[in-house]
Amino acid sequence: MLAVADLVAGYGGGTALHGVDLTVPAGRVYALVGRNGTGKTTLLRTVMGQLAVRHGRVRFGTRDITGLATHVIARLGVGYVPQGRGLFGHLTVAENLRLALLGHRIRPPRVPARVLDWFPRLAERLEQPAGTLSGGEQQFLALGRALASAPAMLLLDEPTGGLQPAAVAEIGAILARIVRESGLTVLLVEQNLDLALRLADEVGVMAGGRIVASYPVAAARAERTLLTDHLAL
Amino acid sequence: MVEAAAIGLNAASYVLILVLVALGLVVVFGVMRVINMAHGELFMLGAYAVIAADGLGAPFWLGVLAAPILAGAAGAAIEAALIRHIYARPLDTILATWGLSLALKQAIVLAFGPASLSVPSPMDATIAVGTFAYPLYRLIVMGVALVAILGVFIGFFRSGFGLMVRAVVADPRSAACLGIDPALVHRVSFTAGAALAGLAGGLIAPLISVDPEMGVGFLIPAFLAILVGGAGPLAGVLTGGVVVGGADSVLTNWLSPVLAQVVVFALAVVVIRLRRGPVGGLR
Repeated sequence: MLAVADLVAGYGGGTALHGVDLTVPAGRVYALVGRNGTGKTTLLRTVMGQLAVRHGRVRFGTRDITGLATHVIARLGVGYVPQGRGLFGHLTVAENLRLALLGHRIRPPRVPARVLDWFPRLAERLEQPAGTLSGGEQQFLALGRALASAPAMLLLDEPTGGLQPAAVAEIGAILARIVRESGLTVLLVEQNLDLALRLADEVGVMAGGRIVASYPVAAARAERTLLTDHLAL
Repeated sequence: MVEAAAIGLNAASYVLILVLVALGLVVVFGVMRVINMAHGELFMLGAYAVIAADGLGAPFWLGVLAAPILAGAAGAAIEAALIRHIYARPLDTILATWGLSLALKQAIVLAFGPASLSVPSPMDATIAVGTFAYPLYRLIVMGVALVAILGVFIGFFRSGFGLMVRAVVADPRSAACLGIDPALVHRVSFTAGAALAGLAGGLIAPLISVDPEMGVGFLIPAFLAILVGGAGPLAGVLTGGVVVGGADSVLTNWLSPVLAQVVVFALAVVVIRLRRGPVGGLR
């Protein structure tokens, strides 16, 4: 589904990705772990077309999406929940959801029942400004908005970042259910190792702008030190 | 009584034209943070579209229809050739659009000459209520302007496009992640702003003298109206337009036009000093 080959990218004069190779097969969840500043977020942003590709290719399905504009990549079926969630805090929950449908030119712009079924708390708060939601609810909205257009793939950047433990557990449970029910392909960046191991089929470790190791989830679960060695400070 | 009604209606028609011009500025500034100094010349283009249509023997209303189309097309071209490349640099956009306004004025001088021109009013009919008679054309101008203002309100505040505009204004990167093309939103908004100026120019062409310098005569009151109106995009422009346009139009009945403008400026300074809060914006 997603194939990244020898990807080099960065900010301004600096280089943050030094040749990333990564394949996420259709219907699988690939979790990317690694310390801060190793290029995980940069990789998602580059795949999404927010940063220029200096070298290498990005393929999505049968298409080469290298260098395409962000909105074109989104319309091809890549949903993205960035760090910080990217919500429009002054717009209501319903408006945030509707924007995803408008952007994808889905007519009529009606939120699919399945999304509200996954996130019943959003259905209760449709007319509330997104900025007034709790942290966990905001993450529900960010996920629901990304799923509203029924993407083929989801890029998730630290969906549990900055949340209370109870909200982390809730997000973990709902993500597991969504993956199970929809067969979505997911590239997940996550610091929370328990969550990553729970959701993923394969776990990759990023360091210094490269993917330095990757393991099938069974191996990673059996031998957590494989990962914790990489993550230790 | 009859005189007061005429003064009031004249003021209302001037206010509505001024609001059309100011709304175009507000749309462009609110969406792109660009202060379009060539906006007055887009207004002028609209008026000259009517002059040109008249010269070609085309029906008057065809000229009025051509005015927003021509100004909108000019706006789209300006956005593509100029604004798109520099809109992140506010001072540069002011200089560039100011330079463009000079170029547009010269182009009109070359094509039509520097003298002021006029188009005959398309209709002589008046609407009479008792002893009071008022030109039908002015009433139609007011009606068309009101419909256009309503159209802007719906387009930018009550439609799906308006929602996308607000998303792009708040956070273009997040909007793009939802499949919204921020560049397209900018292009459409700039074109719409230009078309509003063109429509205003076309509508008012038979009521004033048309010359290459006419743009600034509406650009400055439009800026003033926006400053006086303050925040709240539509309500602000409407109140600002009523204060600035209404005061100017009414005072001209007793004072010389220059003195009336001086009083309006003084009034605007007072209002702006008293009022606090931000200006313009579509959030």
